[in-house]
Amino acid sequence: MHRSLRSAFLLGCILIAAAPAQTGSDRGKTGEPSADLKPVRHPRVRLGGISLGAGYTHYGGSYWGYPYYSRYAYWPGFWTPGYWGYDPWWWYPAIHPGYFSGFAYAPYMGEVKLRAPEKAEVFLDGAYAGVSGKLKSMWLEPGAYNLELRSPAGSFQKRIYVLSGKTLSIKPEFSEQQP
Amino acid sequence: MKRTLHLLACAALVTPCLAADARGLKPRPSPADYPAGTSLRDGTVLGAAILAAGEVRNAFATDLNRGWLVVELAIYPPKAGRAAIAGSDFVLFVRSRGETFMIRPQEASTVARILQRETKARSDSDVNLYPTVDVGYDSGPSIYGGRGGGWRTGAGVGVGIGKGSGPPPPASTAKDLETMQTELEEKGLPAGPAAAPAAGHLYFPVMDRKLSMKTASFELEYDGPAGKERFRLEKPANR
Repeated sequence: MHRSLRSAFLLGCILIAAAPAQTGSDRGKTGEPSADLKPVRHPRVRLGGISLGAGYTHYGGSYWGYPYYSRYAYWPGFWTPGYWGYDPWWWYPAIHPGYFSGFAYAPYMGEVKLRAPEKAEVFLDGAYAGVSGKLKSMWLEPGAYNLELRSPAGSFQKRIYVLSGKTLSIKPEFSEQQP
Repeated sequence: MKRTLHLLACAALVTPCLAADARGLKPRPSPADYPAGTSLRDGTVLGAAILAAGEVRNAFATDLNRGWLVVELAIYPPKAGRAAIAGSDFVLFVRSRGETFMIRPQEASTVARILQRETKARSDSDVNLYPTVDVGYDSGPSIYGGRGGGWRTGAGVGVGIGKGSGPPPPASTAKDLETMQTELEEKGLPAGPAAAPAAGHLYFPVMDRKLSMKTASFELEYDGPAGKERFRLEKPANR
């Protein structure tokens, strides 16, 4: 009985130790936010996309006084995304390369571009993600990650912060591996 | 056996306390490596540098170049002593166009909240342009007999104001807010007494329209337990 109680206490201690130590809210007290901190608003103009159309209309005359079109072809069609204009901010995952690879583009995600040797092993938060040759562009959810690359030339570690809609370009400088 | 278990339990409890200190930046080898600095009454030496726009872009995923000034601050405690310096002990004095602005550094959570709110607000007033181009060929019976036809071309532009149905603007979601806060906290000046050299960033808001960064001069003032000192900060070339 005593032994099981002791084991439970020890397990509890280990779990507490494994939990994140400090959220940082109690550090770096840098004064109260002042009321005059208002964001600067500058409306910006952006190109939402472009729609290109091409078609052929064959006018076949009138039918009971109403004109009719015997044949009509138009591309892009109503059900294709191009009909509504190509919009780079509009999510259409099926057209994006590598959608099923696991690091594919999705809205609310940020891009990490790796410029590393092809065969370097990529680890994210300690887990093996693949080789850099296949992970030149990774789309990740916003968050902080520990990125690690290992290659015969050495290893590279960096804490990265991914924000949605932003691209982070990383050119690793490998350091000699510790024996 | 009992002693080993006790040691293990103690080690498990102490580990998170040690991990908590792994914040801030790696200080430069000596205070002389910073373009500006001063010595305090108790022997603590401070080194400081304003980050240039390019340095901010390289060092942060968070966009701090819009309305924020980032100062890298290093604290070198006296030998056989500790330096108890917090970010709230500092004030930045900015002289611009004959006026002096007194700016206190802001907490990471405040900076992240303002940046996220700003991005969201900006997207509400965005003007989206959707140009269209159309080329076609029409043919049909001619009133003069036979068939006639011709090419048609058309162009137009659609204008939309406000955010559309697409994804939100960059760095504007709740997760982005969390990430920005984490980044700014992790790279911020560590709090608490330091026995070894420590460094981190301070984030000063410089959003006032009256403040011209091109002509401004900067001074950083420390006012805390180790005395009161004010020293001039060198402005980077591209700020």
